[in-house]
Amino acid sequence: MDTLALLWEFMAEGIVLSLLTAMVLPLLGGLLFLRRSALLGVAVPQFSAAGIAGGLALLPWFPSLHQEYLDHGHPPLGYLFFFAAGAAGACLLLFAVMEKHGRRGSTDARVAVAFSLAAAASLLFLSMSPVGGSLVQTLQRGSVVVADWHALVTVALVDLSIALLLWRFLRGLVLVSYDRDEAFALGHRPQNYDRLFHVMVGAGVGAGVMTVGPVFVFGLLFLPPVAAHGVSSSLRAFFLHCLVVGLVPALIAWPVSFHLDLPFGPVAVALAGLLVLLYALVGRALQKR
Amino acid sequence: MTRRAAEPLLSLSGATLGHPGQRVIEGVDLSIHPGDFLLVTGSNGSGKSTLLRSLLGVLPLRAGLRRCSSGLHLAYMPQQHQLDALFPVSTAEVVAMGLWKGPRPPRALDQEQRQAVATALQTVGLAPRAGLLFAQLSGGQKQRALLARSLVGESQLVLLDEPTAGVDAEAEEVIVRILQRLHREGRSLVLVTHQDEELRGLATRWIRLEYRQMTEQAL
Repeated sequence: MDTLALLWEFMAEGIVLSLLTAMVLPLLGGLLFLRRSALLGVAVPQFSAAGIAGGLALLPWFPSLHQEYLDHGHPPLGYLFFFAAGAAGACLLLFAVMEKHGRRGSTDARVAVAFSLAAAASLLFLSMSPVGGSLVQTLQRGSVVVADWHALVTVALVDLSIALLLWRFLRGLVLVSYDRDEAFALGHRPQNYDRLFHVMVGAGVGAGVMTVGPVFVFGLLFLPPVAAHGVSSSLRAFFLHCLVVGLVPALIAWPVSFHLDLPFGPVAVALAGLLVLLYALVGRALQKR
Repeated sequence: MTRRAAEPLLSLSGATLGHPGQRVIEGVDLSIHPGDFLLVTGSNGSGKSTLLRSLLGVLPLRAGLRRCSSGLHLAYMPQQHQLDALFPVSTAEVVAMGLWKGPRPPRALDQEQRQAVATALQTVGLAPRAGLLFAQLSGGQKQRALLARSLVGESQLVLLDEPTAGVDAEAEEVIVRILQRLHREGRSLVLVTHQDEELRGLATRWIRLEYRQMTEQAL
């Protein structure tokens, strides 16, 4: 109990921030999965990380922001969010345009190309940046990057807005993913839902990458829907399982990573991986019955 | 001919149908009136689905005009193989989707709506399969579930894409019976099929698409 109290005392903002992220990302990941775009979950966070690295490379051009970095160890969160969410949004937009106009090539190949280029861009921007080395290395390592009051407020605003939008438009988003023509017949406008979805993913991934890092974001976009799909016999069950597989590892990972002195992100993802295994076993047992 | 004097529910005038860079059918003039049961037949690639999706409005016209009466409620029944077979959705949820009109908050279905879903499932003989994954149904059962989806809403016009394709004789009989009932209840239907023999007896109008030309035939 003492350990937990100590953990809470020092990491309260980080814990709340990671739980907020773990509430929203699995739902967005679930929608990516339903839209058969799960692979975008690889490319988008990497673009976001490249965006942050790019923002850090440009930091010396803005003396007041540079000074803030020197004072606090990170630039203003709005500045970081602009680059993180902007790059994530640009990635989604790029893929939407390629899907619409690209007559050749598979989505898998495009995602692989985008991932390689974004990873290379992250390292190039990092080498060009005189200030951001330690921050981007922390991002890539998977530790919680920024966990102060400002970060918590920023992420809370972004994630609660996404949660509200999901509550309001989830049915339309699901229907558009399942049967665009029926959605149209019922008075929905599929293109508007696509735009809304891209904004939500861009903002959610951007906020996640700049605070809890891309490793945690990758894991929570991918693993919960994969686990949930094997055991769900309805949409309601699918999204509930997504939430469970996102939130439970994020909660348990804190004491585990604290005790073992390991970075939080990889520990949470490894625990989510164990849950995926458990879900797969349960799924097989259910199929046999 | 008083029926023809009524305002059409949906019409295409001087329309060219197709996809970007590809014109499929030209010079389409077609009106769907209340009470119509329009059968559209033709071989594969003749443009049946293009006509249906243009009527629905999801495929923009390359030229011409699409008009629909104000407040028209449409329902659409796709071919079951067009839907994602891995989607984790229950049969009851697929049927309930017919009630997910416009952007509204996802409130739980009220008593009346739950009853409508249960009745629609009962009508197509799928009540015992309501809790099963849609993917676990057979091809014919999936078609019946999609038909149930068009029963739950208060649609005036139902557009159906090959509702009897790939189903067994028993499922076909159920589907035909439901189509007759929908028409009797006053809904207008547009049904696209390549099996014209079986369904011609149900229709009030018949359009044939051949070599990308549309001609109205006598029944």
